[in-house]
Amino acid sequence: MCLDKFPVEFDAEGNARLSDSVEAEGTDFLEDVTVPEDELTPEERFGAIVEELPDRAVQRVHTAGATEAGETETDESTPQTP
Amino acid sequence: MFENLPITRADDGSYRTVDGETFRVDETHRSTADRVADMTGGDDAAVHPDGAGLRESDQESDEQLHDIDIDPVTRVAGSLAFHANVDLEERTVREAHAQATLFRGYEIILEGRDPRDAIDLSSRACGVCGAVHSICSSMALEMALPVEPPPMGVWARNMGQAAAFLYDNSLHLHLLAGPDYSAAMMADTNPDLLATARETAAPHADIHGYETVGEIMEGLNPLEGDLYLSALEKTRDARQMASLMLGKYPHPSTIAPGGVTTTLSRSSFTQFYTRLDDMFDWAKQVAYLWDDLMDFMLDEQPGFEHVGEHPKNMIGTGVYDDPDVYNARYEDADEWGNARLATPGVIVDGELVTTNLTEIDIGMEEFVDHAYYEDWTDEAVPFETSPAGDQLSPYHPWNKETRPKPDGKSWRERYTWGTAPRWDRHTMECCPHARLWITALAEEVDNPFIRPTGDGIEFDLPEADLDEMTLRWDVPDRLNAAERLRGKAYALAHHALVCYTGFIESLELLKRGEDAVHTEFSIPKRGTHRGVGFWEAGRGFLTHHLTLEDGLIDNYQIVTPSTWNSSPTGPFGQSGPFEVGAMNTPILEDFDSEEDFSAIDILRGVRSFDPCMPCTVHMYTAGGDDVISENVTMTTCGCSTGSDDKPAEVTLREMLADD
Repeated sequence: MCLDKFPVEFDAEGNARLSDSVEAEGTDFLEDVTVPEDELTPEERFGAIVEELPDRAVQRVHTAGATEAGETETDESTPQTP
Repeated sequence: MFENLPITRADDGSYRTVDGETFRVDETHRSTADRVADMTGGDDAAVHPDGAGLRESDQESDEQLHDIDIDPVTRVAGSLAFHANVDLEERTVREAHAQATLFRGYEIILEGRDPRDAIDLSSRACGVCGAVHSICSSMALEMALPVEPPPMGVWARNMGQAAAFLYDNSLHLHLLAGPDYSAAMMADTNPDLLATARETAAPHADIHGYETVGEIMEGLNPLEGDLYLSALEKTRDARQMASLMLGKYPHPSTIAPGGVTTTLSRSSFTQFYTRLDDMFDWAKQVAYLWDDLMDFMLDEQPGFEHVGEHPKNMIGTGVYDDPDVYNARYEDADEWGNARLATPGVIVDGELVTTNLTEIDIGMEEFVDHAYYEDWTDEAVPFETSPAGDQLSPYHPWNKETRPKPDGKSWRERYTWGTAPRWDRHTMECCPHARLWITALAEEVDNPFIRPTGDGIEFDLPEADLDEMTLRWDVPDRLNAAERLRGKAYALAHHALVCYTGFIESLELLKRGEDAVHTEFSIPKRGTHRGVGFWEAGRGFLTHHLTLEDGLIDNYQIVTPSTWNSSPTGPFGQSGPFEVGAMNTPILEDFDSEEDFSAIDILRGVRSFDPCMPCTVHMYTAGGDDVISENVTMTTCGCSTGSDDKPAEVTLREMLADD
């Protein structure tokens, strides 16, 4: 039985228990997400998020935004049949 | 539109009862004889007078027939037992019945309570689907109050739900259904097939990393296969994504009518995206991996295409709202439903018949002819019509009254706590494959990354560690276990791209200064108000129908995907999807004697529907004295009702050790 990634041991009766002997991995396993609040305005938050994204993601976000804007401009500038 | 319900469109566009017709169902109902004839090929002698399955075999052939009881299997978070009568010589399933063994009772628990309680209480209907019930309940309240959420609230709900589905579907594929195709299982039930798999190159090894199909099967070995363990880690990441949007998971505490109350800071989004980047690659690998595995099974196991086969009747409520269109009003439900990133709809015999939520709604009925409930239609119904003015059946959820009446168990009479939902009096199944199927045929979704084409859907997954790539899911020719699992695998790409769309849309909202996630609401203290939540669970279709009376819940009715899938026989003789799927399943496994028979083919069929719970499989041999009992992990709830109260994982481990 290979459960080296998870802090679980089986006792003599075959019941699964959280292990005491794999404290480091156990802490990692049990750790959940925590989210500190920020004091940013929405616009500042946008800038801060983009700053922390990987480059390829930033490029995609800007592309998506530009595409949306472009589509809007195209729609507005398309001559309409009266 | 409706072939069996006695309603038709009037000049004003609303649905009205056809003159001289009635919704009432009894033995003389006009459709009964036709439907039983459809089921039996016209052999009236083959069915019981009540239409509940085929007649028992002749006494002479009883020795080759075996009763198999799978008990419990599931409801959503309860127990479902399964009974099948198997002919081991002919290798066929003659009769099958699904039995929900626990009374859920949320409808009764909620009666008379403050409507806000419904969000948290109904959430407990399932430990897997906590978010879906919370959201669906809040949407029913949004309609009843009414209140409309702000755009960021809608996207937080969409993103949290899509992340929860990434967890849910990954779990079912690799930890619940996957072990049925693991090397450990195949060595016992299909050893020749395993040997062939070990020599068969996996066509998409360059993407998922498994050189042969045999390696994929090794990876699915419970508790120790690397694919099983990777999936377990991915389920944690996906649940963390859901928690970032919804506060916690399961049973989020931040869902309310009018949006969510989550604090979405800079860190919420950056942590969400970090995990989403990994999900792009996970979605690519899972789709190709299950393509390779299911294609191998279909190519190398003759008859596998019939395992779990069901007519192409599917229903879905759609999911993932467009905040520019969603306004929580029933009268506008067709418009906002069709703007969803997964389209609502009904497919009958492979044909898409509607994508309108109001038609999906008025076509719904719940029957209790073979369930432990009393019929409630002896009293005047509270609602003759829907809020849009369409005629409602007395069997519609808004008119339903839950009257429990446990009364023995007979496959001919009453045998389950599950009701029999029908749409236009058809049996329907639901799951992620149904969601993709409806979305593909409808071609309503307008999204740069998700493109339905009428005969499939293309998904553009961005670059992560793997290159960007376009996945294409094709509408299958038939509906069976293989296509349910394949559809669920491709659904991960859909969920990941909804998260991606939501992330980009949320940034656009922030850039415009719009970060409100919730709209204030108040509960009306006087009068009658009603609403319905149309949402989906990991397994598809979900509705919560709610009636408020002077500020309190007067009636609350939940219809889950497992209510459809595990439905018992209906009043017209049609068996439910689990039952039909089992009856269509050929016995393909290798066994020398009845003692070696494991029923794996029936289980593969039933499990492909994703009945999320622990099951104990009792196999009774002909004499009924020799009982083999095995616990098989099917739960996403993390619990087990196994012998000696052992965790399901342990019992499964022991089972494999015994092998």
